[in-house]
Amino acid sequence: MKNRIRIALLVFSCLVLQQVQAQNVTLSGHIRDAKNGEELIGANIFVQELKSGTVTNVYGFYSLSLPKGKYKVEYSYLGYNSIDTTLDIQSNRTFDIELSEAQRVLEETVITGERQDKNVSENRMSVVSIDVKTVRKIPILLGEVDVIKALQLLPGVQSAGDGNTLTIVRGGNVDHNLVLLDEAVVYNPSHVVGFFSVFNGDAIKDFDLYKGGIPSIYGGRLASVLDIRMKDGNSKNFSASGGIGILSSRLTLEGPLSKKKDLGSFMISGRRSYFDLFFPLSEQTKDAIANFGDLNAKINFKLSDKDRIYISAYSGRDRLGFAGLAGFGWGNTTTTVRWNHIFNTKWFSNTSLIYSRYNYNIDFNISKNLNFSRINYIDDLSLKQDYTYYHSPKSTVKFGFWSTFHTFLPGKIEPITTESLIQGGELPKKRALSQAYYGSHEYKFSSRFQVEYGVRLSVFSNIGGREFVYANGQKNYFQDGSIRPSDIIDTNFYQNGEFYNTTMGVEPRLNLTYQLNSESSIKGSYNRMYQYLHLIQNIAASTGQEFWTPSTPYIKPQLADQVAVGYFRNFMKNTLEFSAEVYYKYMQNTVELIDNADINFNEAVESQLVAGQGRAYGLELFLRKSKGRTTGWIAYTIAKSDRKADNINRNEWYPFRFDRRHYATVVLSHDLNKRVNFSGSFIFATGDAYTAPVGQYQLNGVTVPLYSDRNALRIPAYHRMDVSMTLYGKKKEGKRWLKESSWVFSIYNVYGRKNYYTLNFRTDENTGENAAYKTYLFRMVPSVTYNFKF
Amino acid sequence: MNRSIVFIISALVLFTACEEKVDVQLGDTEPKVVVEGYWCSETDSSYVRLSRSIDYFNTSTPPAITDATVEISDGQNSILLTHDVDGYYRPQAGYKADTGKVYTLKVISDGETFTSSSKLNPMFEVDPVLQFEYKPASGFIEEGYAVTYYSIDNRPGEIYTRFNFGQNDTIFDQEILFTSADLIKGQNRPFELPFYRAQSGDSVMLIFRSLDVSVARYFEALNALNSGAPGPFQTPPANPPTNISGGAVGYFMATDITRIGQIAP
Repeated sequence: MKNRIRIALLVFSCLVLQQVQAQNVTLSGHIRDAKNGEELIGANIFVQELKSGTVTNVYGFYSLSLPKGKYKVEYSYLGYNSIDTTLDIQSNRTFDIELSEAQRVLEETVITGERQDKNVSENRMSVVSIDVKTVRKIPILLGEVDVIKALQLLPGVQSAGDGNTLTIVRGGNVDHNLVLLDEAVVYNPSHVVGFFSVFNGDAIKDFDLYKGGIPSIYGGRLASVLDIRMKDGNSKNFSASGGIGILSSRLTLEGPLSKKKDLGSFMISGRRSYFDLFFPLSEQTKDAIANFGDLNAKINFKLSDKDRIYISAYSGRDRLGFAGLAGFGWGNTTTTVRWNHIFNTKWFSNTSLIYSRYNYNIDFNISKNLNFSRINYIDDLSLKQDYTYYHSPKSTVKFGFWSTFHTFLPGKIEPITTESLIQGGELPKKRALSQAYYGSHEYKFSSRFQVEYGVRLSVFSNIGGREFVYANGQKNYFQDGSIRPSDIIDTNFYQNGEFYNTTMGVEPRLNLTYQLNSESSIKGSYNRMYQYLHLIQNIAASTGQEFWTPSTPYIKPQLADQVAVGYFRNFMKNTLEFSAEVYYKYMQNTVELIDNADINFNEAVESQLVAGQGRAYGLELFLRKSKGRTTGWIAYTIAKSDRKADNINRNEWYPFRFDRRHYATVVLSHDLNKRVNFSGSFIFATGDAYTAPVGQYQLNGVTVPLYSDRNALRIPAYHRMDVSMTLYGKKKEGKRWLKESSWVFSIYNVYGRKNYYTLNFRTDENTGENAAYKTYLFRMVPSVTYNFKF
Repeated sequence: MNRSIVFIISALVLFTACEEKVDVQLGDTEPKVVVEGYWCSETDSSYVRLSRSIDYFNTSTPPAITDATVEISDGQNSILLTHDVDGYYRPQAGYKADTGKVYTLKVISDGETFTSSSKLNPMFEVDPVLQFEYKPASGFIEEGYAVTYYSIDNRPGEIYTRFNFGQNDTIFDQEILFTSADLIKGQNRPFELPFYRAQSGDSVMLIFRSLDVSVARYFEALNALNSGAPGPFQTPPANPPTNISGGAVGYFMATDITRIGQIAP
């Protein structure tokens, strides 16, 4: 392993050294929002004379090395007025700049841009990015702004169905997505019953979703990375904003730490749902409880021009219960402490200490002898160090490490009453250390050809605890038509702190862009990803009963290789953006459940799993109009995703549960005038694969279903249209209090399509005949929300 | 017990869901031989029933197999069962299986052979007197008498119990499977019947059947399929793991039975 690291470092040093040029000076600084001082991520710096530039990093920092001279530099950002300025740069120079937000305009004019041809020119493919402002216009269930629901309208990113906010990316599982909130892993991004994701739109500054060509800084999941950054807080003025809806409300407070000095800023944002207030109205739901609350907070201190500390935290809690008989809850808690340090105009460093916890509990209290409370959790403590070296406008090097200590509590049961027959107990904790060392180099060979290549070395070790030993060395076996767990014949014990079962993987990453002309380019990417943590779940996604488990000697790390090629073309002076991407992904050691798997409080969970293979491929088409009064996009994906595992469906390939041949979305937004916006979205998806009874037999007078092969049948297609109208109040800049307000009226599932939530089979009590029943969650759901900003 | 959790949570999440009957095309399937072997310690109760599976939406009665050879052995003696009616094969009148023995089944039908074996484990001791305690309504459970039984389990090893209860000659669908491994040996154990309140004059009945592990696995999986099958809180549905070899579905269970009955005050 040491040799591999040495080789990687050597390669990087060579790349850096070959570029050394003595005469260059560096222009660096931060780009911020003029109104609230928020640092702008991905803002553009373009040097006219050099026809070259760069973008700000996630901390709003940029650095450009260029020969001494006088330059015309353009600073720009989507939705903001750009600034052209002439700078005389004779020595290293820091130049901070503030951009002001463009007014909402109606004419067919350019309201500025990121680089307007970013779609074509940027060396990034398979990246889904929409800005939070666009997200706000997309009609969403119950009027909440939701990043994840919005992402699911983009190509290659699909919803795992009604009733959750989980995502399927390019044929991967729901646990193949790394979700980061200010670098902390969020293990369950769903709020109760899937109405909302855990990400409060008011507290989010920016996000990116990588579904291919994933940079080497990220790893640990097979399919995608969703990197979400919280707002830093208004560093100029105190402000309050929020929304009052019929089912939930939210409030955000932000402001500078000091009115006089530029010390930093804070932001605190909370949400609380109260839709269970309506439950007493229905006989069916009168005893139920379902609610959530969450809180985002962030504070940043400017220690000096070169040092800044950010502390951010999130905590959320969901509760679902019924008449005190049963209840369950879950919550994510994250804390990130980051230290940005600028060594000099070329070297940028970030050090992060990250804590993340996901816990969930089930309370079950149906009689005085039959009751218990069960808790599970996963705890992560991470140290992350990133360095960026801006060598020249053509060349940037990034490297660092990310080390995480995981603690898993697979289950702890406590009786609620002393008369309970359920004995308390705790499954032994599992501990593991995952480490990653990574580096990448972005290099522009010419104005046409760019490359970013990198490598990530991931290492995973189990620490202490115990592992079962199974009969014949096999955790399960095949007999009489079904896979069954093997008998446990012994247990291996490991001391606290004792490392065992260390596995590692080398993960190469590559992105290439060749610009054919100013309007079109071809891009290609390859990535290999290892995944060491696995989500064990039942049929439905996000019920609070799924749990994460580490790789062990019996659960091999999952592995995916993906290649993607795309054609990018802009039309009508960059008014229309088009892209077509094809991808092929091959997965190994996917986690598949055996037949009749029992995953509930089962310490021998590995015996309920078989390692599978997966293959997913598809074509994604995307056409977007992002300028003018009418904006929006059309996305279409044709794809296939299959799985294969020993002794399931006779070792033949079978459809993945979320294998969807067609997935199409349309999003439209139209500004009628300065104060009225209409928007709508439509979604169509091929129905999911499922396993159904195809035959029946009788045992002791009871009908027993005889099942098909796994996932052999299809439920009908899913489709839905949502609409919304936003009425903006008049701008009241002069007044001290209310500055902005709007009313949002929305209707989810306008034509009341009864999309399948589940498909059940049972004997009809009235006719005595077998019948199929579908359940559906939401028909038409209207909502109204009032938003304000003080 | 896990399945009761599944039931209650399904009820919980689906509270906003609506349900309706739909037409689904499932296609035709190959018929499979179905074995229902019930070998018990009660006199004249043991039988093996043979039939074939039919398509799921077929409304006719699954056909019985009436011309098979069915043999049961306890390791020392073997007996040939005779066909009675409708696919039921029975031993001679007055037959009663013995606890502690391992019974082996062999079925030959249309040139195919199916075999299985099951151990007849003894039941634990259940106090024949039930305890009734009046309780107010709570959630969806109506007011009435909570019913508790007492039992002591002194049996060695891991033995499963399939527990059913009912009232006034109706056995409820709900079935509880539990293993002796979860219980403290030799301790007098009370157990309140879940989700149930008896009203005055109701005749409450409890039926306990011992099961060996291979049959318990079958019922565990079957119960999972039957509680709103297949709900979102279950693993992907699959045919329950049979203890019959040779490609048949069903089970062969040897069982000891205890029945308790009492009228609510």
